[in-house]
Amino acid sequence: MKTYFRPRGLALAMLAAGLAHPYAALAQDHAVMNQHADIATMCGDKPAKVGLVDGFGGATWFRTAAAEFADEMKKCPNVEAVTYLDANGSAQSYNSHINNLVAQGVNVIVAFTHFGDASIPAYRDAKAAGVTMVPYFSQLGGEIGRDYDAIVYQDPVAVGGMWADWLGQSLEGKGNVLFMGGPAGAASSEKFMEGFKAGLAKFPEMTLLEDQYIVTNWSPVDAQQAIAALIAKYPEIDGIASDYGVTTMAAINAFKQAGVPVPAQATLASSNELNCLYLSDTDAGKGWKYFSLDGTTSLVRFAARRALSIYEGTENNEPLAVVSYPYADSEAGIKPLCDPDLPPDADMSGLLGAEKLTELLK
Amino acid sequence: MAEEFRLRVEGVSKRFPGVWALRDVSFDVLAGEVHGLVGENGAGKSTLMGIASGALAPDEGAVSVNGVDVSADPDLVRARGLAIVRQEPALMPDLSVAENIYLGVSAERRPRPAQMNAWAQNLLRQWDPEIAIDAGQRVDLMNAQQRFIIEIVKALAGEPTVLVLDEPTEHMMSEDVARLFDRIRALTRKGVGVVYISHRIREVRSIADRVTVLREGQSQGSHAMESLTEKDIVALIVGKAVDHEFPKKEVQRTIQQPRLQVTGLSGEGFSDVSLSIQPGEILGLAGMDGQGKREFVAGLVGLTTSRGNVTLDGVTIGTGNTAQTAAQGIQYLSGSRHRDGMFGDLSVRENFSYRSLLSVARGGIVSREAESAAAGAAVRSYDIKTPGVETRIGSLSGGNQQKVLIAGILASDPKVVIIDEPTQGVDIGARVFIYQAIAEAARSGISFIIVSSDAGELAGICHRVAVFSSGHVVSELGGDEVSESAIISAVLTSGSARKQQDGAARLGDQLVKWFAGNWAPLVTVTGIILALGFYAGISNEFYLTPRSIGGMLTLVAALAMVACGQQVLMLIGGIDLSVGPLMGLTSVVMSFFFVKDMPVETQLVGWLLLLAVAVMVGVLNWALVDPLGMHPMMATLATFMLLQSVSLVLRPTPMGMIDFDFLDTVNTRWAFLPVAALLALVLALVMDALLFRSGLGIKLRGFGSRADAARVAGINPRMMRLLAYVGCSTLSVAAGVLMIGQVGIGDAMSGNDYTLASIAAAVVGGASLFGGRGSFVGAFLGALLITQVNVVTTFLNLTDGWRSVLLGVMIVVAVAAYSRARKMVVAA
Repeated sequence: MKTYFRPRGLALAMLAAGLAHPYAALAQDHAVMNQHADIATMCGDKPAKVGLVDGFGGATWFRTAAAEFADEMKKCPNVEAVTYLDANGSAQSYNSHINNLVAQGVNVIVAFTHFGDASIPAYRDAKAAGVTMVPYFSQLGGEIGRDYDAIVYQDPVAVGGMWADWLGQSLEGKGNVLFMGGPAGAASSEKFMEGFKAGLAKFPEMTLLEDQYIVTNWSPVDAQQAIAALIAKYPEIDGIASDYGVTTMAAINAFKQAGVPVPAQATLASSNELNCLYLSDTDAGKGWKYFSLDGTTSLVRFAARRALSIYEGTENNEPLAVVSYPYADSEAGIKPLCDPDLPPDADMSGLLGAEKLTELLK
Repeated sequence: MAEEFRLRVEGVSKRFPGVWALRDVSFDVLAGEVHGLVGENGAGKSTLMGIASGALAPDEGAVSVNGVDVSADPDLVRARGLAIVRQEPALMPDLSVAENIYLGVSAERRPRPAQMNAWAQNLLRQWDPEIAIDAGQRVDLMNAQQRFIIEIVKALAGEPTVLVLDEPTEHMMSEDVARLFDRIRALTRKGVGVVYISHRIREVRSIADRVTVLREGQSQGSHAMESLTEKDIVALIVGKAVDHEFPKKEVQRTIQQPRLQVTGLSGEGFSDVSLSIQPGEILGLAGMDGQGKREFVAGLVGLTTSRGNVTLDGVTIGTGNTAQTAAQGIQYLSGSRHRDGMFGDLSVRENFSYRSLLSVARGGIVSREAESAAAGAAVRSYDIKTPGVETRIGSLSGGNQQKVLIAGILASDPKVVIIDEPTQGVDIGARVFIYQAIAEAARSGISFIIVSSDAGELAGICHRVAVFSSGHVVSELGGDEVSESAIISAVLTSGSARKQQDGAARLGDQLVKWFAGNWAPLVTVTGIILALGFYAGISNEFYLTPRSIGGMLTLVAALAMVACGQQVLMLIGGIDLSVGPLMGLTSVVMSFFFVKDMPVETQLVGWLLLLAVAVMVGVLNWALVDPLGMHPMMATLATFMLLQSVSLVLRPTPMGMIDFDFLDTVNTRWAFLPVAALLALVLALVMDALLFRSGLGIKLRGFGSRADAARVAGINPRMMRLLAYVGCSTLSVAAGVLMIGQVGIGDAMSGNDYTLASIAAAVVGGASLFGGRGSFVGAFLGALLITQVNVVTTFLNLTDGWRSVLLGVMIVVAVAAYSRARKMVVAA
């Protein structure tokens, strides 16, 4: 499935993540985005050429992830070359890029699962040519060993459960909540909703006001309109979960415009802009409860380690499923970073470090 | 004796809304007779010939050809042996001369396509043993005179028993007129009946045995030629005696500072021309076509660039462009009224006033009332026959159109008026009126430059005539020297430079001609592919490897296939935006029938369903475009969305992995070459062979080149469009099947990129958006080049932005080079 990434659009990637393949198992066993193994033990000694292919790069998130990939791979001295290719939204270019990397003798390919299962033939072809092929970000159909060597993905059901837990605890087990998803029928939003509902079941006095997720199309305009209507419909909204930082930002604006206090916000993939707003509101004494799961730009490092360890035949005990970590948590006193010199869509939650990030995005 | 009548029209009436075009007209042509048909424009000659040819159905009366009633049946008329040579030759410009003649004759007279050129050349030689027309060349390279000769040769090739010639000598030189008359006499000796329609009464008198005069839809009788003098005929045409065709000339004084002084003006096709014109003087420009008279005018009014000095009333002026010269008071009326002299779809009022908008404007806004009043006044004073000032000018007769345009020019308060062929296609009544208007305007001090190929006309109205040859003014005739015979003799004695020019094509011209040819896109694109491949090969050792080439060709296969589909439509001037979603739908359909462990029967159902989808989508697009008359872009955009929603309903998200054995079959390789790509290449070659070497292919290209001319040649437009749309959608579905090798799953969106890529591939490969041009091998090469550019950028470590830039530049350069060259070679 083709998904258009807006400049600040990580959560659209979440859609790509969740395509219609039912997860065989909800990984009980998952890694967390900020808990990384050390690649040094996995480097092996075979010289390796590695490549990363994006479906629609260019946006800040993808540039950051590509830099993290190179950063991780270059820790191994036997990695001779790191190539990055962007298909710019074209499935044909994406397949072509994979083939071109194979033709150029690249040993390891990591590819963002932008086009979902439609890229499986290209993965299979690369694997058949003897390349270690590791798609990352979302679960796919296909078979390990035949179509690719492994998939490293983030676990949306676990993420939904974490929002529910945080809202339940911060609202002291009692209150009215909503969940904002993407377009109607978006598979990833369904998965987040599934985990969110399951998590809320632990709190009998929490009420989910709308049984279906609020459709926002991941557009700030649509989200603000939808929330404005819900403010009128429900006199009391205590908390909102969202699968995209941009729609959280829009919801906050809707509450401010309606003159209603901003309820608790649980979100995924925040941005510099949202975090700066949170900090300035808090400093001004108008703060709101805030929880953001982040670190998604570092997911590619798990994929890099997985792919390299397979190629080198070294040991890697990290799980394939990864979840984001709390980057902002008003209840636990975790403050997010804000850097007014970086672009509003900058994501500082990864492992790149402020210096490299500034260098990359300036 | 009935069989003696070649053509018989009995008591025919035809009424158009509000007007009797013909009223009880009878007319017949005997075997071996030349029957002249004369009358003003709008007198009903065209309607009568339309009825005779079966194109129009009469309200009353009957038409028979060789004794058989053929009313309103054009095919039967043609089959009974009636051929029409039209004033505007019905030729398809992108087809060769031979192909035009081939389509112009009935099926049983056509040779095998392989022998077509020799057959056509032989027919041309029968017209003139030393003919300079090459049957293999495209018609758009021919000038007006050559086109007309081709039209006549085409008509004669059908060995007609009745030949209708409509203004045949309008574009002809005197030697060809003599040749035509010889051929007419030879035909009548064999018993052919000829209808000769012309404004040139002298010619009609010299060739016709009888003459029929039409006036305002009614016959003024058929008369034996000897029984009428020229004056009698004119009187019958106009309905009153005409004493003088030309107004009395004022005696010219040369006293003042010249109104216009041209010194040493040079440009494309003329050099070092110096002329001066007094206020109120009418200067004629004579000379054969191509000898510089029109080229000089084009340079003077700023249509082409020129160097030299031009002063108007003593002040040096610029001739950079037409807006500049018009603003300075030099107004120009083109000789090809239909091509660039008027806005055919605009009203009489708008055509009248666009040159003089300031005079009807109030504070910068055009005042509609003032504009209408001025146009209305002009309609009355010029006696323009039009239902009203809001009538579309294109619906008026030639004479009335010309009056509107000349009235408009004179209303713009010009200093110098340049008119090219003031009375071409203008009937005698309007002609007299136009001459008077010019003479009157000259008396008021406006200077005129008149370009004309009619020496009698120049002699009748001009004070002075400059004769052009080889781009120079070779003589100037003034005073008593301005006579028809003196002008003709000056033109004829100025040298036969026409032949010299044919021989001396410069290298630049040849290059342009080559770029306009059918081979140019193929050679150019192949050259770029090889050069790019070579460069990438030396820059990156991995580029020219089986893996890389094989992978690239895999991608080429589907794109080339759909580009061939797009090419089918572009050949007829259409476009199909729905090809991409149709490829997506193909993958969706396949994802239900070609999954693992499906029995053969199910797969068979899948194939049938795919075929049905292809035909249905093609028919749907056709139905929207043809019977419903939607623009192809809108129609196929609607289909685009429809197909997209159907696919999304069937597969909201990508699902249904195709059976691996099936995918392996699609992706089969021969050595390292994907069989699918080879298949696409073979298909392109076969389709090109059909396109250029079969009657159907020639028809398709002919229809795309010029639909109305194709219709005249008996090509059914509906069938052509249906064929093209169904052909395109069938190839798109085939492309979708090849694409599944890369996608492997039912994905509604998977084909969307192919819509624009297929158009780009066809255009890079030489397709014209206007139809008639391009080839399937060209589309294949275009697809190869586009894919190669995508691939090469990664091997050259260029960023993605570069890829888009490279592609964009390539498309622009390709299209610019072909279309510019094609425009440059089109003969006037």
